[in-house]
Amino acid sequence: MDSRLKAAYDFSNYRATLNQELEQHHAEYAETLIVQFGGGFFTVDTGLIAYIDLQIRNNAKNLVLVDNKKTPILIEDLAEFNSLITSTYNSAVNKLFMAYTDVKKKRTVKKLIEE
Amino acid sequence: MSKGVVMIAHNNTEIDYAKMAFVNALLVRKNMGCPVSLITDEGTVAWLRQNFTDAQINFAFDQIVLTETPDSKNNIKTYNDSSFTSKKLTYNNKNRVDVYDLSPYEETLLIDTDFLVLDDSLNRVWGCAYDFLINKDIVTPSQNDAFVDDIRLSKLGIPQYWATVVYFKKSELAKQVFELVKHIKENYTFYKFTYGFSGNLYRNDYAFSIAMHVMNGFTEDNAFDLPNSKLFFISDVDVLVDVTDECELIFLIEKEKERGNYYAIKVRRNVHVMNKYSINRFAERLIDICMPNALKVENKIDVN
Repeated sequence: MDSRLKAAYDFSNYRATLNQELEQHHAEYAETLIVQFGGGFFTVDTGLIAYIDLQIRNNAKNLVLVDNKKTPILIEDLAEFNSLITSTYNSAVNKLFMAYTDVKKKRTVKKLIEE
Repeated sequence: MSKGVVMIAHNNTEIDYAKMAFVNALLVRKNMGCPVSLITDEGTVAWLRQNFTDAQINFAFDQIVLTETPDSKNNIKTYNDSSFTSKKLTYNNKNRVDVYDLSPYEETLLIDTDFLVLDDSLNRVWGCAYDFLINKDIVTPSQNDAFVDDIRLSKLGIPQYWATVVYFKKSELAKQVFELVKHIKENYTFYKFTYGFSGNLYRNDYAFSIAMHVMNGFTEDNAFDLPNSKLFFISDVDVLVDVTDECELIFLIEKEKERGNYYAIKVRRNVHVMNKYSINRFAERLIDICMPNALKVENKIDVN
């Protein structure tokens, strides 16, 4: 095989493996951001965190949120919910950041798979 | 409310579903920390006991519920082990509909033996407000989205659900769903023609998909969808080639339209591994990682 073509194929394989590795990390990140509270399922994002924080600052103790399945759920303990979503988000983004930092250093398929 | 994971395993002449269930039970215990029960038949249990000690089996399984082997005379499925090996074997899958009555738990997570649990994300279902949830979407490594044929039962048909992962509480609603699926199974030919899909193999996925369509008021709705992101699915033309000490699975994924050419991926999240031969080849390795050392002393299997 033409060595230029082989080099291109080798890079193509590396890119496929790299993309998969990044996709895995993103899927884990997305998965981690779905929490269950009060029976409902919620996807944690910065908007939700900001909204809950605002409500707490306005001295709300509980409120109703519509969950991922369009069901209104009474959040009885807003403080506990706030703690859950904040810690979930922080943990997920930090883990994603560490994963990206690690993947950036791996320039071969072997390193992506074996390390 | 009691809760636990349930798997169904009925061996055929070649595929050791019992061993897969054993491996996956250890993975569930390691990653989710909840009890696992096995629904199986006497022959499969006898085979399990030939390979593992009572202590090992009792560690893996909270309970073993015995049932008859489902009648699967004409239910033949093609089992691939990469693109180069293919066999037609009996597929003993018809008693999934009986899980509602057979499960010993009030909250049940029913999973396939080849849906390998590598993370704890499914723990979020316990105590939720919903009585019945089932997986809807899948994603594959090669295409980042499901094959077109796996999105709907037929080209213009209803959405396909996947009975790979099903959560239910013992409740009126869940009972109704399973009774409906039983009815569909008993009248499968009728529903096959009504919903316009082909094939002689009875598929639980299709029966549950039809049930969901009915329960959703004959509309496409997400009322019964599990809240997770898409079910990660690895085809049986792809091959598991290694397992790391951290229990990450390394697969060779066959490139689309390039038979025999692969790229590698490492998986550390829940994954539906269709290549059952692959799982069985690495069963000993997975057991070695997940089994407590004290139980390895009595191990009947050779971990070396």
